[in-house]
Amino acid sequence: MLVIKRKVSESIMIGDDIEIIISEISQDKVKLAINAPREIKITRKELAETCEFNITASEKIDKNSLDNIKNRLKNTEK
Amino acid sequence: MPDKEINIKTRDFGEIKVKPEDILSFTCGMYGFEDYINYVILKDSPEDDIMFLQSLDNADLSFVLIDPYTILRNYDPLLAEEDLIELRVKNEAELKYLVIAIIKENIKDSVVNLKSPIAINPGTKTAKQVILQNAYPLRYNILAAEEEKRCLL
Repeated sequence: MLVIKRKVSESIMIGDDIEIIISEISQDKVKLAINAPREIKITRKELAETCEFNITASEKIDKNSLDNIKNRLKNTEK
Repeated sequence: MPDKEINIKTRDFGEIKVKPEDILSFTCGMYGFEDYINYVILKDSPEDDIMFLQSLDNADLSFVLIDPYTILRNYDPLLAEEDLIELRVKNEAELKYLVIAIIKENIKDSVVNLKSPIAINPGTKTAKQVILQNAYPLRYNILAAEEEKRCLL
């Protein structure tokens, strides 16, 4: 993995037409500005992962697995 | 006079009746399922910790929900300001939270998404799947709490 140090207002280029600018830095957050062609999809990673999680979660589950979990959760509470 | 009940088709419970006041409207659909807005929460039996989020717009769409507090007692969601505004509340305490589960045949592989719970405004019956500001894991083992307890013994 490539690791680069940048200051506020500096940027990096990915390929010829994607630019990521460091717009603001606070104690635990960094604000990025991104210039990219319209067809490039930009998503927060946790959003894409949630999407993927939901798709798996929507699959039908068998009754045995469900009953199993229900019983285990009941035992946990005690 | 109580509202008239509506017949709905469900994936796991056949055709059932629900009250209009039990219908939740999502401000935007679940991630990956943006076209479906209206849901009801169903249970097999009242004492169950497991619930089903059944879509009204697509009978075949249903998710398993769990009360996060049965898994993590000190679960303390922190929402983005725009999510609070969208759900028309001033703070997190006014909302109810449920998390989505992936139930696998091998119970040890079953996980819940603590990072992106369903936040519900009980007053307006609106809901949204929110991505929390907290660093909660997106895949948290359902039995983790049980394991921890065993360690304490």
